[in-house]
Amino acid sequence: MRVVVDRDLCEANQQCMRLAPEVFHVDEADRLHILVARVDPEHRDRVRRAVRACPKQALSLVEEAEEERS
Amino acid sequence: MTESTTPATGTFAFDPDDPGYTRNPYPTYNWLRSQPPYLWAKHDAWIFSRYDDVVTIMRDYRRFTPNWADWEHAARFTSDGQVHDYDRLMASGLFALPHDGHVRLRKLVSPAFTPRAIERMRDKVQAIVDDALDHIEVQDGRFDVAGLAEHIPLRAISAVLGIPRTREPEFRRFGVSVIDASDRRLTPAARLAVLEPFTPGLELLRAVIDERVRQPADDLLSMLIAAEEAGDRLNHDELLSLVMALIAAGSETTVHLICFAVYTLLRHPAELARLRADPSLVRGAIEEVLRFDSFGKNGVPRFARDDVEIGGVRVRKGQMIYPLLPAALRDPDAFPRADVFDIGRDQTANVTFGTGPHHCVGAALARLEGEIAITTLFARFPSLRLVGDPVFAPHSFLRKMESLPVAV
Repeated sequence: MRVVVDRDLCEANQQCMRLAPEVFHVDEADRLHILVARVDPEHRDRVRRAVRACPKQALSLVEEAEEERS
Repeated sequence: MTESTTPATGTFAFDPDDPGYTRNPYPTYNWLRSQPPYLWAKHDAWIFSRYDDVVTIMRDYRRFTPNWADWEHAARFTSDGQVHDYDRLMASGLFALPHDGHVRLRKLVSPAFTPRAIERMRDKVQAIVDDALDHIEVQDGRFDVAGLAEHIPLRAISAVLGIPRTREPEFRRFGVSVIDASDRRLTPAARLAVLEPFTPGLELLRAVIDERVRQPADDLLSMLIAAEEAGDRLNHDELLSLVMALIAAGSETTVHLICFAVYTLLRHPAELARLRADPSLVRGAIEEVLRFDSFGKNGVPRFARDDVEIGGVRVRKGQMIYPLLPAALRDPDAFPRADVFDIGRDQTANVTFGTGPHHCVGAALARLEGEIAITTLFARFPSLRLVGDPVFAPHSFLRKMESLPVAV
């Protein structure tokens, strides 16, 4: 599983960072950094929650199996 | 203590103009959520009250738009083919622009409204709240919270924009007219009456912009003017529309948040005691006020961009839809013990500021104002108590307290 951010929509609300700080970091310049290329299985539930919680719906998840098929 | 939420037996009707609904809409919301989506015959509009449906509608900008021009009956309410300045500007506004334009405009303003940027306004907002409290009229140990709340939000948004304090009453009336005229269900005559303060307010705004063009400052208005002058980032109507929306949404909303925050906390003394004992709970308290007893009556209407099926009903292209946000925020499928006011609850699912592209761009500022107003007010008046019921002004889509009497 990896995380994709739509930078046209992200407004640095920091909800993702609050819910899954291992994966999301909003820096001092209000830029979101996705900290991992692949989400650790033990973080998946928190990451799903963070994606759902984004006020702008700027985040999405890409499952590995989808990628292998494309 | 909570308001009655039990629907009375007998026939129920959805009538937001009923004063009883304004005072206590919760029995109606519970009744609505218990059945399939409701067709409001008076306006041929679908009412959605369950959390999942409301969230779907707000997020799906491809199928649902907040642009009144896309209402199937939009033509019915234009007056003699004349386009009021208001309508011309709204057509270049955040609710009307197609997705690309909407994104372009949001990118210009959202950096000034991020939580991080707004946190830098803390001292300024505190000074605004302190000043407003210093000037309240306390008579016989009593004052009106509505009078206090009235002044805070316009001053805060003016500070962000860089608009001077000198013409407050005119900008306040301007903001109210922009919000009130957004409802195209008004008759043409009623609409013109509502828009009466709009034209002088717009002239005033143009004068402020001209002044800022001559003397740029380090504020959002100067930044937007520079972006317009750069040529391809926003045009003049978009600039005016954006600033007008910020003034309106920044003033004629947070006033009601402050009133409801005071009212709801005073009606729930155990939660108020919890807040006094631990002031760090204030963030959660403001979120919970906005979830539990929101000042919006109906939510922001949407219009179907094409025939669509949702919540088990078929919606026609152009048909009006009310995603009833206040009802969704009391949905027990989304919030355990939904009818209980609990300032410590998990607020992750609370979409009171919307969700998706139109999520309130000013949310962080509204939250900051609410937190500082509540913290400062309850610290200054440790024995504050209600001495009467709020009086609600008649309004088609807002539960506006025109009076909330308290004793110190």
